[in-house]
Amino acid sequence: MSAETVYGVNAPRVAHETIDGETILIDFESGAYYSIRGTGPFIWSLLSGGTTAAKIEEVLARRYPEAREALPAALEAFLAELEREELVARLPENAHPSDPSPSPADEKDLLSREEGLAFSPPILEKYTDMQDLLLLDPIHEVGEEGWPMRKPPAR
Amino acid sequence: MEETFLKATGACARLETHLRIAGHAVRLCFAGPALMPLLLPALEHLLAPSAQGPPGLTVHIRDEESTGVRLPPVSWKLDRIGLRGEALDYSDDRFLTAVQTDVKALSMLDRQRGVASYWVARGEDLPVYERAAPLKTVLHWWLRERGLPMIHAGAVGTAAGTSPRIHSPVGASPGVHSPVGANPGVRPTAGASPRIHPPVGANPGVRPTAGTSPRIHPPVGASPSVRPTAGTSPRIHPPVGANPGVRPIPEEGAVLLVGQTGAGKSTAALACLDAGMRYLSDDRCLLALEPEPRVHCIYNAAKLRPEQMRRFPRLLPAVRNPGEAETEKALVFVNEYAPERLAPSLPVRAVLLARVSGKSGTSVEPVSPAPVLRELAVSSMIYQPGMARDELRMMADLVRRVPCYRIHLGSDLESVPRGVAQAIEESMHE
Repeated sequence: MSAETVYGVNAPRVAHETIDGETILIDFESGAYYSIRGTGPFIWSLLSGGTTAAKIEEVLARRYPEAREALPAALEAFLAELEREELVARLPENAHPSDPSPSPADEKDLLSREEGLAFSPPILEKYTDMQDLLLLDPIHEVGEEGWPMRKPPAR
Repeated sequence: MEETFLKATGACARLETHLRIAGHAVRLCFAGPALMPLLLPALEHLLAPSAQGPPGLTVHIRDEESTGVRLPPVSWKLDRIGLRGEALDYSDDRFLTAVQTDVKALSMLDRQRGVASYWVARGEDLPVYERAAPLKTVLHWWLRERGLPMIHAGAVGTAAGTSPRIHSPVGASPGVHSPVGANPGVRPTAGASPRIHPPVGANPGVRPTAGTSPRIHPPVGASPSVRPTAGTSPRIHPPVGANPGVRPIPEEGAVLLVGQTGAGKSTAALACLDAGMRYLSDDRCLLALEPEPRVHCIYNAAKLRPEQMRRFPRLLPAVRNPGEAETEKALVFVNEYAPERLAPSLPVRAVLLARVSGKSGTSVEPVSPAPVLRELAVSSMIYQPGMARDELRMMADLVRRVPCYRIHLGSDLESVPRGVAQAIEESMHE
């Protein structure tokens, strides 16, 4: 991962909203959904405008000076996880990274009622219960009449 | 699709019905009567007596079996069908298309012209969940662009000045409660929607277009899939219950019951209906945000699993499909069962995240809006073809604007409406 790679939300495949210190993401292609907590919603708000890891680290370091040493590893691991889950996409090389800063209105949603301004590592949780339901009986074949069919379960 | 619909209407009657959905005029055009008794009962409360101006949406509806007209040739590539049935090769900025493999049905919307098609191979294949929420895909597509997304939530409420636990005495409700057996074909409220059931020809809401056959309006019993209970009127009001003296609610309002399958939201909705509260939905309703958060009833159906039938014996006489009740779900149309309890629309006072508590009583406590949004959004969006960012944003705005509670549903069914009423009251003090 290059510090200068510009990342953005993998839209329209992924829809997201942040509320009360939690970002909820839904991947419409896989059926999985995710919850981001800790400092994650703040990082996500920076990412959603399209930006680089270097710029995010810069903003985080200003916001959480006490955690300056822990930031690079935590950020790298978080970005790698987001990329592995295809929640973010690398934007074209000529994409112009935004100067990330959440709006005052966003700030209210970025922090949970319990958490303050102290740094806590970003957490990404994946939920597959709905995905499991959707994939339980996927479309497997086209029937004789040309209609997409669900394959009968194997006996 | 439209061409084959016209071909189908050449083969049998073209029948029109007009709906009024949250102020929007929708025209349903059926090619022949076969699907009418299967699709219309859940929409009956929305029937408009006449067109009342040009419709915003026209839906052409037909089945292949009764019309004998096949779909135009479609070439399906499996990797071009989305997880939620989106037919990607037949969708673009103008057209939206989705396929249902479970019932062999196809939905299509021409967004530009406001014309939709719903095609199903055989009406008798339509399962209970499809008859409880007919045309859900095309209606959702069209209504969401008018700020009315279809969400996955139960919705129940209270009328202003009424106690949530009062079983209204038959005939004592303000002008809407007809006694059992009194003129079952006509609703007593002025301007109320006409009924779709017999007597044939007496229904102003469904009219044949010029030159069509008189084969309109088959009795409900004529459909093999819709069977009224022998000897019972579907409009059976439960016995008058005791008024336990719960304080009257000063303003009308509803709660949304949110949770994934098994969370107890449909049981909670049924318990509230059974207790005499206003009913809007057991799992699908329309959400509006402006000028205030509001829930609209789009389907007047209530579904009961076999174990729920045992818990709500008062609803049993109103079950319209007793033959399927043990193998699928029992279907009750609230517009027939207790029309005075059906609320067309109510302001949303709170959103309740439902959980089965495992205890006897029901309790309510404030909860962060985050898990509420997660469950509401995921269960609403994951099954609905084409749900997207805008709907997620609307749901997030909803939980920012009204209080959220977790409701721990007790096994004592009478405690559930009390818990819901408590949440409505508390929300008014926030």
